[in-house]
Amino acid sequence: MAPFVRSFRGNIHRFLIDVQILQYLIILVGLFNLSLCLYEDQVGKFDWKQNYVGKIKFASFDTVSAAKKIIVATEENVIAALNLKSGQILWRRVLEKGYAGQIRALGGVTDGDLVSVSGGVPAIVRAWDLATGHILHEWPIAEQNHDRIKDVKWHIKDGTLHHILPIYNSAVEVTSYDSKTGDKLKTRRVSAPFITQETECVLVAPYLACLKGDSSLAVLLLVHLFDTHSQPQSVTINTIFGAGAQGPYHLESVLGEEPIVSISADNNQRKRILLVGEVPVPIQRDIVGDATLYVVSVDNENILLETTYKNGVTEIVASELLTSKSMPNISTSVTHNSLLSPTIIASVCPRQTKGVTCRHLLASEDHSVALLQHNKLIWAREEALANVVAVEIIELPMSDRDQEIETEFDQKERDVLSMMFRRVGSQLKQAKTFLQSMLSFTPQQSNQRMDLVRDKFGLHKMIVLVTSAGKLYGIETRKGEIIWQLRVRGIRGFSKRSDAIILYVQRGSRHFPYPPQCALLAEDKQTGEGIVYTFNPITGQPLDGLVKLGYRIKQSMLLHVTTDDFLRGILIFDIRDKVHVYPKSATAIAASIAKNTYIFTADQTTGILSGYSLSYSTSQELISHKVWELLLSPKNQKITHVVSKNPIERVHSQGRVLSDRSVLYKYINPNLVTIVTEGVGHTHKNTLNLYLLDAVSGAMIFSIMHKRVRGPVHVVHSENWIVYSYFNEKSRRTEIASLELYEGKIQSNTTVFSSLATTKLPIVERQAFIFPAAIESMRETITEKGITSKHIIVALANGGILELPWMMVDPRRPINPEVREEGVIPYMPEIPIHMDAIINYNQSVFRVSGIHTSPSGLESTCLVFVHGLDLFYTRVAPSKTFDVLKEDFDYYLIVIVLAALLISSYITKKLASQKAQKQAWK
Amino acid sequence: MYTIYIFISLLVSVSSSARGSELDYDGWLQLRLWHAFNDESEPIFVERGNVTVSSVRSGASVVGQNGLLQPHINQLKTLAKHDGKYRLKAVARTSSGNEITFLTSLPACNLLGSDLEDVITIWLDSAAEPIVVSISSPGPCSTENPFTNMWTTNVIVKYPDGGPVPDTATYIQKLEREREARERGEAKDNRSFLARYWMYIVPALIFVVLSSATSPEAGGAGGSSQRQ
Amino acid sequence: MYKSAIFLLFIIVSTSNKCVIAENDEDTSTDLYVIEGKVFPWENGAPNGWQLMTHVMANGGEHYGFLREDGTFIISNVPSGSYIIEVVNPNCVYEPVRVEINSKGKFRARKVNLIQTSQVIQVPYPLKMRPLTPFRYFQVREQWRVTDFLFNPMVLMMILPLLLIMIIPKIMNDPETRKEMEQLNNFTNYNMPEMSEVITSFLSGGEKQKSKAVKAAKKRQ
Repeated sequence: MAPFVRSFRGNIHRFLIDVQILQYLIILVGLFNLSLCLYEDQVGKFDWKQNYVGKIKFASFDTVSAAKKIIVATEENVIAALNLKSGQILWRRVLEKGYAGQIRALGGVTDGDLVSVSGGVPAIVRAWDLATGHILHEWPIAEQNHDRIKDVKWHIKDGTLHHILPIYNSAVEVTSYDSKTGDKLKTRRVSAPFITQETECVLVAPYLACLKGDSSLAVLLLVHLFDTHSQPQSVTINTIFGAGAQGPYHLESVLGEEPIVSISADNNQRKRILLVGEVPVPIQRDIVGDATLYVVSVDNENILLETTYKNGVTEIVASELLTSKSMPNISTSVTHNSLLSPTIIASVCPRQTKGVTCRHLLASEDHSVALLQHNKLIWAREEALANVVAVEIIELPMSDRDQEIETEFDQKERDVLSMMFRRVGSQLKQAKTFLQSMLSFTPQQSNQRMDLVRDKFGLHKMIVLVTSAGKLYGIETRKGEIIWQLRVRGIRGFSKRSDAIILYVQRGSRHFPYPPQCALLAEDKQTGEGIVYTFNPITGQPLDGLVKLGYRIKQSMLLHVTTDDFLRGILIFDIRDKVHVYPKSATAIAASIAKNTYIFTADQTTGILSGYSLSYSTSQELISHKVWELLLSPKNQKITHVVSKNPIERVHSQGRVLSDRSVLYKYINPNLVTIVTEGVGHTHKNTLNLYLLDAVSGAMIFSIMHKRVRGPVHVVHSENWIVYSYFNEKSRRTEIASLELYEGKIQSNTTVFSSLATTKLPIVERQAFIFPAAIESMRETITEKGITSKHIIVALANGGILELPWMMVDPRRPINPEVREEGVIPYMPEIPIHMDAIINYNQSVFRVSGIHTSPSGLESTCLVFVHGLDLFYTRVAPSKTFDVLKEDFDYYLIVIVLAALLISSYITKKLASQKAQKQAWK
Repeated sequence: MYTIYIFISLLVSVSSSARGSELDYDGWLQLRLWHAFNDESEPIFVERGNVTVSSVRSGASVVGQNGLLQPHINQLKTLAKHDGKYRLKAVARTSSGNEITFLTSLPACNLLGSDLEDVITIWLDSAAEPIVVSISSPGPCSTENPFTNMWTTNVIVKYPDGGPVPDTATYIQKLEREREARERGEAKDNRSFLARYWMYIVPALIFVVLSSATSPEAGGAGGSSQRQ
Repeated sequence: MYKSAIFLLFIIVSTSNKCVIAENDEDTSTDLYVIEGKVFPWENGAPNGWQLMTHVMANGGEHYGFLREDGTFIISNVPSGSYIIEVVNPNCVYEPVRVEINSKGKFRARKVNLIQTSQVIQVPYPLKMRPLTPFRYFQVREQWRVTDFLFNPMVLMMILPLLLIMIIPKIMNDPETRKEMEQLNNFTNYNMPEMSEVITSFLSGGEKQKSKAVKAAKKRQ
């Protein structure tokens, strides 16, 4: 027995070495032409990019410049100009990320210049060229009251920027600046002693309107901001609503050019508007509470637009402001798929030869923007795509014909005669359809788009995107066309997990006739309880619809076993540590594997990590019990990342061959989780801790600490290695550190890894490198079988996406160049960025929030999808396309050569026989 | 081979612990241990003993615990038969006065297989606060009676290693050396071409002369063979 | 000429508003500064609107600066500290510069050296960012060229013997050359033994005669 075992071991050993050699060959081939890059004629062949601006915050029509356009400023800190006709981006300026670039005000478009106020304290005022988007001027605005920046109101008019700050119990301070130079022009203080912290105030230039008091005694106070001598005017609620209105009241300014406020009453059932002026004029007409208002001027006459949305119909009712006379020629009613509770955010109604045509820019609840012109939707932009939170790439289903073949062979019976009949029958059918298509008879009846089928190499797929607005999209990968979109209303991301929405693929498209199924896990907007929404990822049809779970979700997990109809259940763990399965029918199957099912949770606020086992479950009910618990004390550190491995990852090679031909076995623990914490408090500030934890046994495997470093931290965890990046405060540079885990020269268990049986800690190799650019996001490539070498896709702050071979960050790169191993490059402290490894060439993508990689049908090729403000899709082949002919393979040359050889051999044969004949005659 | 490897791994472990001397603080740590043998989802904890680590930096510890009573061993055996888990609760008190509760578990059969030998690993964070207390047992899986009822407990204290830093010093040195070598090379190399490469040129010349002298013969041979 | 004039103007402007936007000096100890400079386009073939495609980034996106039409930029609101200033342009490589502002508001610009962080090679401030080279994202596709094909070692190995086989018999067939050859043969045959023969004879000593005889026999055929 023993010799057999040994020889078996030896065989495995040799096999491993062979595999390694194969890998190194692949690597070597890859190294020989380190050009991972594209050829110039391949631009746009496998990749596409889409630009977005984000949810609109401010917008205005530019009617001043020669080329009419729309200027928008968005929640994503973008200022852009959109083409009026097509909605395309004419120019776009991306400001600083997050709070530092938050756009606070945008104005001056009607005067022919564009001024934006952005950032925190102090804010930056920038003046832009309307036509080209260049910056003209930039200056910082001094702010005395740092904590009151959110109360500051900005008003930009006639080249002057007014900074308006209410000072509680005393006055309103108005500071005016020249919006171009930043010179302080004037500071006024208008007395307004009634303003307190609770007072609700809105700016209706040149007035500040404040609502005081909640009951029926509420008073609306109006302060003229530019007249220091005037006294605040007061209007009681009763003069606006008459008697009988109930609070609470809510004050809003009406968008448009006129100073108008709207006050809603009776629990937002109705509202009324008030023209603010020297003599305030209330309009004695009730407006429905859910209508949004806009005032536009047509021929110097003010018109009120009320927008309502009911059952998919958007209605815009126009009426004269003062007389309330309805204007049917301006009123419209539209039904369009891309409108959802829209509000008018900008509108113009120029008088043209044919009459007045109004253009309304509508921003919908789902972040999409649309331009409405005279009952017609001119264009719509899906701006929700600027904020993608979850991605899955799903295989397309087979074509109808392949499905027929599949059904043909799917039958259980194995009777020769019936099988032959079926074969003949289906062939006849195929012949018929072929003839039909040849003679172009009736077009084929198909339940799917012809091009949305699986291709030979599995490169054409469907990307399912979940956006923060709760809108789902299906995008095909070839051109980036949006195939379907779905809205799920009333959901939000898990507030405890930084608004993440979880997307699971419960059933892929390989199980014909069962439809593929995806499930979305999120929170209910009102109650915060969990919801599940299932849909077909190929067609975008809802399957079970929105299911309210009735409990809050703490953790969830996709089961790795399927039910009889190939559906993988979702294990949901609620905050009371109860385990649920969705769908319910999968409970039995979940219970059957419960003995070996573990769940772990990490709480960011308390720092507690716990592991649960389901081993006491019965077939009716899943019961969890805690098996380990540990504490990363929030006093010292804050959990920032919990990264596990990609569950679909496969590790092909179990070890690594050293220079002395021995094998160093990898420590491949599928339950290993990387936890990154950043130090808090004075003493531990700027420390970074990384822990490797076995999520099943609760044992710590390894921990490491960096001093004087800070985020942003990005972690990639795959196979037996972890690569993470951080900023080194001491040396002021971005660094990438890499850890690699090895079991040693003996493998503890050659067949399967068990967290509970392995007690030996792995050997951890480590190394750090300097990275000469700032990193926005990182992700490893993944392929079907894991034979292809791994690369790391790195999104850089300068808009490039770098394909970095893992070999470059291999911690075993020898410092001493004499120690050579196969496929290992000598150590260099700095990782160079090769220009031809930038896979998006000059198609810069900004504000990258995530990278998703997915295997294709080809082992060599990995699909890469980058999302952020822009979407970018391409495919990469980390070890070159070793399994397909190069696409520039010269078929003609090989045909010509072969033909020439054939012909020449024939001719020479002829010639030779002639010669032989001649010789014979001699 | 094997022993060499073990030696290497020992070295590695030694060096890693040497590298891990990042701990700025020292202090004591006291663990009170409770354990549960019941085969139910809710554990019933009974006291097991305590561990005192007098210095977290050196890891010196004293373990005080009583032997297992026969009912407990029986319970442990049933637990092992049902593939259940032995759970251990540890309440840690540190020198800074914090009290933290940890929970850890391991398959009961492993404990029986190793005759109640277990390893309690205490991981500390950079502030010398305990973050993990975990129990493990090297034993094989068994449901037999252990031959002793006394615990054999090892306590290991671990703290984070210092993170790697890019090794710029050697690289700069290397560059420096290369530059010097180049400079030296350039300084020496102003001899004439012949002076530098005579040792290559002379053999080449000899070879050329010899081969040119013999080539007619070769040519003749070629010619004659043609004639065949 | 024109360019230098602009440049001069720029210097004058920049010196005239040497700006330390001192925060309202009452309570703030953290003064904020303005980094300024100019980005030059790639000499030939900078497309229209290159300013729009370009922006300047400090510390990987903490602060941004946008280009005016003439390429000048300012990065406002920067507290004292050290900043790596990079020009972000998808078409040209610009060398990043490290700008250090000390707490007194003194500016120093130097080359970025991530490996030797203490090494200081000063560059002028206000910054002048010139493109190093255009980006080369793409590989040049190999084209089929006759010379490449011919100088391929495999092809060479095939063609040379072919040539020898084809041409040498032709030459030999020519009666004059044949005569010449024979003359040469006769001339050299007895004067010079073959090199290899010399060596073999030297090594094997006694068998010299025999081999010679064999050789002679061969020749006579």
